[in-house]
Amino acid sequence: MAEHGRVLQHVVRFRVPNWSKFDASAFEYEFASEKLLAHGIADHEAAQVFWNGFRALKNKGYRDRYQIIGLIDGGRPLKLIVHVRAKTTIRVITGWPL
Amino acid sequence: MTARKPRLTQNEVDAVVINQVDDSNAWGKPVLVPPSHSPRPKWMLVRAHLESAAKWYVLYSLHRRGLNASATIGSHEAADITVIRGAGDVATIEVKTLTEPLWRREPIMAVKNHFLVFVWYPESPSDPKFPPNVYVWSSRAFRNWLHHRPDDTFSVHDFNKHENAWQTLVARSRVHHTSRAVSSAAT
Repeated sequence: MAEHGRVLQHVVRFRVPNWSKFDASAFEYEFASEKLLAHGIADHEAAQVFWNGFRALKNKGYRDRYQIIGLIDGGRPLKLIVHVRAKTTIRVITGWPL
Repeated sequence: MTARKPRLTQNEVDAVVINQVDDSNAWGKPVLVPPSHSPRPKWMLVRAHLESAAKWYVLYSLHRRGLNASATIGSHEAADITVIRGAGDVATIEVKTLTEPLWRREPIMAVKNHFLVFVWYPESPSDPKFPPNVYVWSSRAFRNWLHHRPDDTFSVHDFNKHENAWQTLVARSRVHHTSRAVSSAAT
């Protein structure tokens, strides 16, 4: 049982990004461009948020989904919903200007 | 025995999470993530630079036509450029940069004195020898044009009638000045 617990812990740790050591260029990005465009956000604007610093809030039910709040280069604040996959890919599901 | 949580597809999970966006109980405490100092990927820079180039190209074109135009910084995202056409007569312009000969439907602001300028680089976008193609629309005319079309993507060739249609902006200015001149002559 203890062994099983350790394995699970390991899996969880693997899936959750370490935000304190976050390096935006270490990730690949995927964008739901149509959903973003519907809210007036271009892919590269959504990506800028990850380089400019942001606040990340983990979803309590689905722990690989996050709410990201940050600024694009021009200073416009955005709220993004993202899916962090295997610590290598950030899939931007949708977003809104704030 | 507790009921097992049904396994949802990725899209179903996305929908659940999107619905919870304004529910503060559904999200943990915010973690502050500092800016990344590593270089940005080329695709991000190319797109951002093209958008800047398009905006300044439109501004250049307006100035060459003698219009009193200024770039806006940090104002409403739909107003990249303002044009002062006379006392109390200000037009706003939203510049849409196209990196392929397609425009994908997105919400637009369609109000009086607001214009959309589509800038498309038909040749290599990184070669400054080639000027872009420019299509000028009044936002209301564009909204009406879109209204009759169910498609989600449009070829720039559909915009051909509006290529370099700067008179759309200038003509309104002339009408305005003429009407002012007439009204001041009458008084």
